[in-house]
Amino acid sequence: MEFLNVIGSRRSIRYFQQGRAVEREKIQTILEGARLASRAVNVPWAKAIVAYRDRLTQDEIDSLKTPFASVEFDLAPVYILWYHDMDARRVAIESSAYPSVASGTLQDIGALGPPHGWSHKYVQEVVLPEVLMPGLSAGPQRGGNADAAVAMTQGLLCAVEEGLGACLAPFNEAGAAEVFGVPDTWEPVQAMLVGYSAESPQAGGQRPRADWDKTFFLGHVDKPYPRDPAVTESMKEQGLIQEPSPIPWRSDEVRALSRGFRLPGGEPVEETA
Amino acid sequence: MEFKQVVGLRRSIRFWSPWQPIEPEKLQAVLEAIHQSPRVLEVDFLRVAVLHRDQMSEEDLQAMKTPTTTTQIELCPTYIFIYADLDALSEATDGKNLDEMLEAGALNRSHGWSSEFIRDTIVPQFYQEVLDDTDTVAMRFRTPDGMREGPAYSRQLLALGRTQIGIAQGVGLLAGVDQGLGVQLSGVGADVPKRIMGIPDSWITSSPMLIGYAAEGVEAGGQRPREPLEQDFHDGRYGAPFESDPDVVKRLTEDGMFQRPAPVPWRRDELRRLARMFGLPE
Amino acid sequence: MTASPSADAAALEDFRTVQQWRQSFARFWRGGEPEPAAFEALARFVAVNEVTPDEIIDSVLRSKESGDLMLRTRARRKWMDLIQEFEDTEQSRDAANGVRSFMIHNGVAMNPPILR
Repeated sequence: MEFLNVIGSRRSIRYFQQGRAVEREKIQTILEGARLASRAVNVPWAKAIVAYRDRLTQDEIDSLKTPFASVEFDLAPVYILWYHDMDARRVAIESSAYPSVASGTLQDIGALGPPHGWSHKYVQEVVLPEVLMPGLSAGPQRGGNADAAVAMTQGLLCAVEEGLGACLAPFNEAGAAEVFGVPDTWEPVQAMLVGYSAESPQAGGQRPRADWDKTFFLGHVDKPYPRDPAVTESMKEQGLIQEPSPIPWRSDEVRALSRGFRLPGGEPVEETA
Repeated sequence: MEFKQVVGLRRSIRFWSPWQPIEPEKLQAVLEAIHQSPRVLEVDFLRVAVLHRDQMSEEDLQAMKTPTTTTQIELCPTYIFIYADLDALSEATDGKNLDEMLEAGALNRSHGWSSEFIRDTIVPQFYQEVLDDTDTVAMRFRTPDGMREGPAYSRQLLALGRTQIGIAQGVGLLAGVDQGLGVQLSGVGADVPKRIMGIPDSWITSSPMLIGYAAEGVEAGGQRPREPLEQDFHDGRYGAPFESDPDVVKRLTEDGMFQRPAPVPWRRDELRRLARMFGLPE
Repeated sequence: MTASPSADAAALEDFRTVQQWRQSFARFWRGGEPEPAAFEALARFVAVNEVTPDEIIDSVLRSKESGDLMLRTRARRKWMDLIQEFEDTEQSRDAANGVRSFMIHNGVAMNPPILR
């Protein structure tokens, strides 16, 4: 699938086909895609647990829910719970098995070298003590990690490209810790709920986004980034920008889906005289 | 470009052709892709500021460099700074974004959503709880006069903001590769772009995305190494490794997601010639 | 460019930091060693600045009580500026890069300006 079409076709899917399992190879593809993502000093900040709804009790499923995402956990057959491993830096430093900057691997393979100022001695005697080790004694620190989200996003796009429906949602940290035995050095990022979409490919149309002029800037926050309509048009032709929501028949689709899943909102519309 | 090839071709590029600017339509395509990134909790955290090297003063360019990112900052023609405006969550407590998602048919009654649910449950129990969390961190900014303390934000809010930054970076990096450009997330002195672009204190950032035409070969030395899949991902519960199926690896290799591992045999020669071309030390 | 009369590349061989340069260079570049011109450039540079190679590195990477090394930013900056002066005087990027290579392989990261 063409890259721009993957980005444009992604929706947060909230209705999943029942009785149709996700092939294990597609789950592995999501994880492999995530593992190839960019990451600072080549440390694996992103960790994940793959969970299968049908192997959990209803109480366990319920313990993962939040006000923001509830029914989705009942409908999605697979949950990939993404975490930021707050201990990843320490482990990478201490374990030579990791191909991180600390191990010297990136110099050995010619990714970092003297033309950019790097040498093995610089890593061992400057980068390690002055860049990678400070702060470790304070222990794991919460507050998120962008690289863990970069990996999760690359996995999410792999799911779309594999023909799956997926949705990112917050999950209950304490519930997940109890159910899956998650270490307390892992900070939640988001849950990726995965399955075959029961919605049409448009899923109601492309979701609204913040105004361009309030989001993109050139050189200064007072100067919006100029948006060339011809490029925008080309993005439509290439499938990045698609028909905006709500497409005309979305309410009918949602009503039918709700009825099919015996969820509220599926009641027939009363005809008025 | 085919999606899996884009994922497979991404490398952290460190040599750019400094003389070759990015065509405006390619840069806009990258931004358009970022614009379609998922929104964390439907909050408009995302802010993106583009800075062209040649529009910076020599003094500012020097000040933005760090000991090991000097060369790539100088070679790269364009930097995309991705921010999360942490004040966006307070602004979202009016519930308007979520109302918009109701109208779009994205959030529905089937899943419990309604205008009342937004105002009676989501805003007070979710958004406000993050805002009111007392486990906070004060922002600190480097200025010519020393360090200055800024507003304090809860760690939960910082985590949401950083997640939004990472999501946009993930999309942006791949979009750059899809446009035939070289990309890298690189450390820079963040106080310089903050000053020259007038970035508010409520905007947090991570490493900017350097983007331009790569001077390295398309493989840039080969695909970078990763630890085994089993070390990062768990199957069913923590401690049960997600075993890699070699048949899947074979398929992903055929699809271009897995590529020749680094170093390719000629990498040292490539580096040496790049170093000489740009007048860099060996 | 004519070498300084006091420059003597062979006299540098016994310095610990010159040996480190050779070893690190060979490790990264898969064999080989810096060009003879680079050794000669380093010899001229230390002569001009009246220091030994070990003194240059020791002034930037200082030992702490813990045994770890600490990079002294101001000292690094000073040597970067002196190497740039050396480049301007000799009118040779290659000569200056010889000295920079010596610094880098001894753990002191630095880069020359490229676009000026």
